[in-house]
Amino acid sequence: MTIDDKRSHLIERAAARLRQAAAPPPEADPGAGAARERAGLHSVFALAPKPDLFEGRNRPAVIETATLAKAGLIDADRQGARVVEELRIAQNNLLRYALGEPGAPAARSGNLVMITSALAKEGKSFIALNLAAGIARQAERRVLLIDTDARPGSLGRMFGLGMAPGLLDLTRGGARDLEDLAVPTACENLEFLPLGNGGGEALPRARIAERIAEIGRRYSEHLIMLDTAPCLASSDPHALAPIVGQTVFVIAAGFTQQADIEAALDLVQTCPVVSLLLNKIRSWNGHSFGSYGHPAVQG
Amino acid sequence: MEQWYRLVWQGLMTAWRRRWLLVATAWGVCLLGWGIVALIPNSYESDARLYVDADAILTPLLRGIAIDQNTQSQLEMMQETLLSRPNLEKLIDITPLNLSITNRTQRQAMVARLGATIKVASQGRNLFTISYRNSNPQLAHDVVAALLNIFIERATRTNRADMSNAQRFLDNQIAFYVSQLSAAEQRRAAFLRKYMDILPLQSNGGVSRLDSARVTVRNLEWQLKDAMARRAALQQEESMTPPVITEATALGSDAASPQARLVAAEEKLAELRTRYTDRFPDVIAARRLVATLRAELAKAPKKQAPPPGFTLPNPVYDQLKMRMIEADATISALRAQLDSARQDLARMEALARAAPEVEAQYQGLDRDYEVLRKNYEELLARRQASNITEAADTTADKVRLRIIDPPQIPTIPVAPNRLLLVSLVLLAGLGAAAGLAVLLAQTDSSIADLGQLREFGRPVLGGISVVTAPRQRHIFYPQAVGVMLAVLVLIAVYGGLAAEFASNHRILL
Repeated sequence: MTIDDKRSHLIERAAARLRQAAAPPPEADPGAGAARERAGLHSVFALAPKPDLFEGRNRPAVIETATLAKAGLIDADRQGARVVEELRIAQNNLLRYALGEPGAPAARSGNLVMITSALAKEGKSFIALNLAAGIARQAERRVLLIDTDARPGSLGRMFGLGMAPGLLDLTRGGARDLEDLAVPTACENLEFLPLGNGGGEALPRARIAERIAEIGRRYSEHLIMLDTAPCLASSDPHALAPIVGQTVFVIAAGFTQQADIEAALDLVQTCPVVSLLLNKIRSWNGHSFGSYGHPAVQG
Repeated sequence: MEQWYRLVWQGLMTAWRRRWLLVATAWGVCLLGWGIVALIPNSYESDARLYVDADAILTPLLRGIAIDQNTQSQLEMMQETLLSRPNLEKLIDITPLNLSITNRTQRQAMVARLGATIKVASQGRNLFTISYRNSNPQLAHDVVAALLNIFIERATRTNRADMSNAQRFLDNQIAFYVSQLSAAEQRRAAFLRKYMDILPLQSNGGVSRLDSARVTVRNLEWQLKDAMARRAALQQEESMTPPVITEATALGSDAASPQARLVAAEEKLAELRTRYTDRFPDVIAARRLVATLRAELAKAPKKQAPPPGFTLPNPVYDQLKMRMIEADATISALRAQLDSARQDLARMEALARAAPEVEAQYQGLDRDYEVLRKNYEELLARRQASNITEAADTTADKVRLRIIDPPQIPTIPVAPNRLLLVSLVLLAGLGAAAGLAVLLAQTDSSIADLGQLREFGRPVLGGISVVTAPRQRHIFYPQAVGVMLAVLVLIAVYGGLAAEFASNHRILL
């Protein structure tokens, strides 16, 4: 990394840093192993870590491009560059908060990012899908998108995977492996983990959270994004907030009232980084990120 | 300016977000309002026009004496009379109004309500409109008709009373004037008696006694002076006339002396000779007479003086003496008269000095008396006229009360103006929706832009514009059409209601 590289893209730099950080073998983390021992887990994660979920996999994409588009994935060619650019700014900021500035230490479990909001219909799934796809596409990071929301309109339902096994089955500790459960998508470097049904068994939130934290540690090179239920409608975000490195708090412009936002932010304050993302801006004059002051991406 | 745009934009956004609430508000308000408007009962009005010559009696009698009543007081009188408690009580008794009355309190309330709702209006002098509104058209008509009947019945009675009132008034006035007049008369007579001497009198040709006394004194003075002058002249004459006369003196007067005759004859002869010759007979005769006379004179001896002591009293002197005595008598009589006249004058002058304003006072008394007398005479004439009027009234039925427009059973309600109310309700509904939108926008605390987002003090990831994905278009357009449709249907319902009410409302007729 030289001075000349300074102009290079932030995401490329971040990717380089991640590759460096992933160099030490996972066995060098005795604390994590001890935690697993205490929890008495006997899952696939107790075995030797697999640093790359995607490596050596050549499964056909289950989630087609059309399905992704239907679920709200932005097509840069069709919907214009503006939203794409705005998303890119958000991606860059997300990566910066997740991995830290150059020279500064990365946040604890920075690769675990929770997407939440105060209320329903604020665009969590849209933001999660687009940020995940954007990062996967642009930064060539491998991104695992996990659906933790059982409600109608969640990503799993939109992908038509409402019945597919997923996170809950993994938590219950069946014989299934994450590699088997993760669903490849038409977007390269992006895989999706549905919620699953856990065999109808009610699982404690703490176990689910612990399992997600394990996934984060195991695939520390990947960016793991959690699409969650709204803060004021479910306790999931509150339970997940302590284990994730960053919370992206989506706010629908002109919709969510400040009181709700404050209440929801209080619920996720255990997360070290809570960043805000304003969604659905209907600007009267047409430039929303003009005020953001990011001339580098104006073109 | 930009802030204003932003505010408007945010307001519109809020309105759009709560569109169904706003539409429901407009609909709710309109339906509620229209329901209330539909529930308001119809109100029918029946009215009658009436000619009432309220001052037909009083005005001609008391013209010039009593003050004329104006229209306003006439209307008030009319209202008082028409809506008096006895009238209304009677009205309740004879109309179906009494069906709903069971006790005293209700009756009183009904009387009060009728008094407030029956309208009496003046349409110029002596022309009145009586109108009453009720939800029952038949009842509205009945009330007005019954009230008219009661009023006419009562008014005919009142006319008689008015008439006798007027006459009583006139009689009272006349009696009053009589006493006033006699008092004034007595006052004037007493005054006249007291100051008779110094007041100019009509019988004296407008000259006061004082003035005539002055003239009398002056006349007497003149007469006295005259008499005295005559006496002085007589006295002088007397002194020159001898009291006795001698004989000669007495004879000489009856025959002319020969010398005198000779002189006369000579004078005649000379005169004749200037005109005629000596041979003229007259000249010859004259010359002969002269010669005769000369001869006679020469022959006759000289005359002697009459003998002394032969005297006679002079009659002229006696006469003068008599006249002197007469003049003296006249003078003394005049003096006596003058004295008396002067005393009179002095008394009158003293009186006049003591009371210098007597004349003015008298004139005042006289004027008062005259005025009273004139009014008195006028009143007498009026009473006579009133007697005649009364006679005319009782015989010929004079028009003083006539129903011009009799009440009719109304068919078209006059109130409520449902068209107006329905329109107002529509406006109120739309206004309520707009007001609610403003209120929502005011109380909205949502985040509109990144500037507001930063105020949370958290890291800001960015802002994503709303995506006009086809999926969302499919939501927006039907919704917009739905809102439009809801508003249009509301307006269409209003149009239907308005057409319905306009068709049977007087306002468009």
